[in-house]
Amino acid sequence: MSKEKKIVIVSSDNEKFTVDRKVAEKSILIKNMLEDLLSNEDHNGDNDDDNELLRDAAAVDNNDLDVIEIPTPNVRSTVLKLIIEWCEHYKDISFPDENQDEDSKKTPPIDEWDKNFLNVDQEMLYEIILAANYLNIRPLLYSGCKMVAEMIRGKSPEEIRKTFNIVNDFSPEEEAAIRRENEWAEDR
Amino acid sequence: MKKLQLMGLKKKFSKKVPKEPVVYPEIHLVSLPDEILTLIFKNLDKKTLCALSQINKRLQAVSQKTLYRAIRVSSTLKLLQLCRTLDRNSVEQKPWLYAIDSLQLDIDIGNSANEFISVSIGKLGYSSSIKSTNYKDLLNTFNLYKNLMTHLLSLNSISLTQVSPRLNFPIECSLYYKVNDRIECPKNYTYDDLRRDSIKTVRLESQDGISIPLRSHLLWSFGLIKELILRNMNIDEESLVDTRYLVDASSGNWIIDPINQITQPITGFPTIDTIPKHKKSYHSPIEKLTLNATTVSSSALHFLRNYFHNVTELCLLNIKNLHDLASITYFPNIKALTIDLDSKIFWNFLNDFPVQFDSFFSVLCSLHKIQTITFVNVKFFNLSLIPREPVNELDYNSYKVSIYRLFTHLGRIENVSFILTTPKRITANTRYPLFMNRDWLSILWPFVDTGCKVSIKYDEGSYEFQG
Repeated sequence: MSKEKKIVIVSSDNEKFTVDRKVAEKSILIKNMLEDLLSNEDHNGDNDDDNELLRDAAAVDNNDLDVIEIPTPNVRSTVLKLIIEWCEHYKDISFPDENQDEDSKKTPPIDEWDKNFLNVDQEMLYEIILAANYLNIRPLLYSGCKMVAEMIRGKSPEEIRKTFNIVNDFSPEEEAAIRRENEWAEDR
Repeated sequence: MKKLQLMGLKKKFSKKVPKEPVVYPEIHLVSLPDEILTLIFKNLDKKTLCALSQINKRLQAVSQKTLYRAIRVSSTLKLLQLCRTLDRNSVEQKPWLYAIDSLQLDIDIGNSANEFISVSIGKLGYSSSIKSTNYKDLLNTFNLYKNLMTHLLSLNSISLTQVSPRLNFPIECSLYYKVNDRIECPKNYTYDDLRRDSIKTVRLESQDGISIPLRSHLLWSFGLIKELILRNMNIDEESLVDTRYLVDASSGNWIIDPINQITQPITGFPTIDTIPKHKKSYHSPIEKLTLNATTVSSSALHFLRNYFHNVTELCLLNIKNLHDLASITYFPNIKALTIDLDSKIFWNFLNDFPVQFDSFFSVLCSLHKIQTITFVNVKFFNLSLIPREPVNELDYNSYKVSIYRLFTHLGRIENVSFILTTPKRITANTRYPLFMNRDWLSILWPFVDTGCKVSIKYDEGSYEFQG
């Protein structure tokens, strides 16, 4: 089994990105896929996986033994390009336990580099979040979510509606009722 | 003026015609899946979450779910408001309001003469005719608490941070009592049912400087507690002899063979002599115990072994005296131990190293099942210049030399992994300071070639050092 394999990630609009394995493995989805794939290879390529992506990737692999293609049908090339940039930047840093308790109350503030990196328009930010969620890149997902939270923090309901272009579907009575519901949580 | 009229028109219009559901583009905040919205919202404070719940119906459900997951109430009035909210919305209408997982009450619920509350409380008990009800009940924080507890079925964790000597959960609160009272044939009530109805984590705290003795009535309403956290409390003989909330955790057979005493009125706490012999084999269901600034009276020591038989994780924070540190030996089954190196005891302890360390070390060696020892609040600074052998008295007294020697001893304990955690970032703006800074590595020399697994952890990441 050669470790020198080139990993090619293919976006939904068929653009191809060649990356190091180390970079690609920032995505736990791809990491697991590669591990499955390469261990299959060890067992004489016996692959009867029901994972469609895996089969696709394996088929390409058979044609060209040095290249593994990984399709990401949910991710546009402009988004994928940014995701790969992020993975490149963090390729040498191992993050604390990936399967950390998601409920833990204390999360560190957003990293400065991430803050600049995620300084994009709203739609792009959501697309990055969705892609990070799909590719299972937890640290990027968390940073993205924190960016959105920063945009919301401290705003009044009207300001939030304006910022995010949301229509109020409550009647004034309903709105007043919700305010009373949450009265216990409001500080004097 | 024209604007005003328009606004009025708009309102009338919107009232008459039922609104079409708004369709949002695929890439939009409102279109994000629930789990991602939840991830976003959990970064936000209560005030912003309140604002979010007024935006639209979809965001209301998700933000209130986050808001009502962990609740912290700081006054009786707030507690009353919370009760009112639950009272006005049924579980069927708004299930997320009832999905409260953890509840923290920063109120002295033992104090019944609380501030005057002039709000009616609906079906929770008192509104129909306040005049005829016991007026005291309306002001009674404890009754509010009781009402709240009966509504929250998904509660897993409860913290009472203002435990006072007045707080007394009456026998009706005991889970035994509840079970026997509610279910006609207690035999149908299985051990699994009991587990489901129990609160998993209980935290009891009193104010700084006050040390309130733990009593079984403080625990019996929670059922099979898995984790108990005590802060500024005191464990004495009486804390551990009353077994009325205890269960034989291995068989859970108290339901079939209930302890007679439960249904009888309490006439004070039993003394050791009055406990039937068979009860001494009952263990508390607690598996994880945290003692923060909590002392164990010497008279209670020999009860610890039996009472906390099931404890596998022990955490000692703010250890006040050597005696409490030595109590570790009475937990025969612990697998994970956490010790706070910033405790006052260690300031002297580490300085007076040669005398007291051996006994501490032998305590650790006596724990046969131990797998992990975690030291919290280890200070990793200025560690670059550690003299291998102390040159003078001053060296002996330095923190780093003591730590170094502590580690030298620890390295001899086999098959234990150590986790060292440090309280804060060493330099600002560096995300992984330990990774970059090699100074601290020298402190870990004692672990080299010992086969111990050592991890360093801090708030924003971890670096693993393999011995």
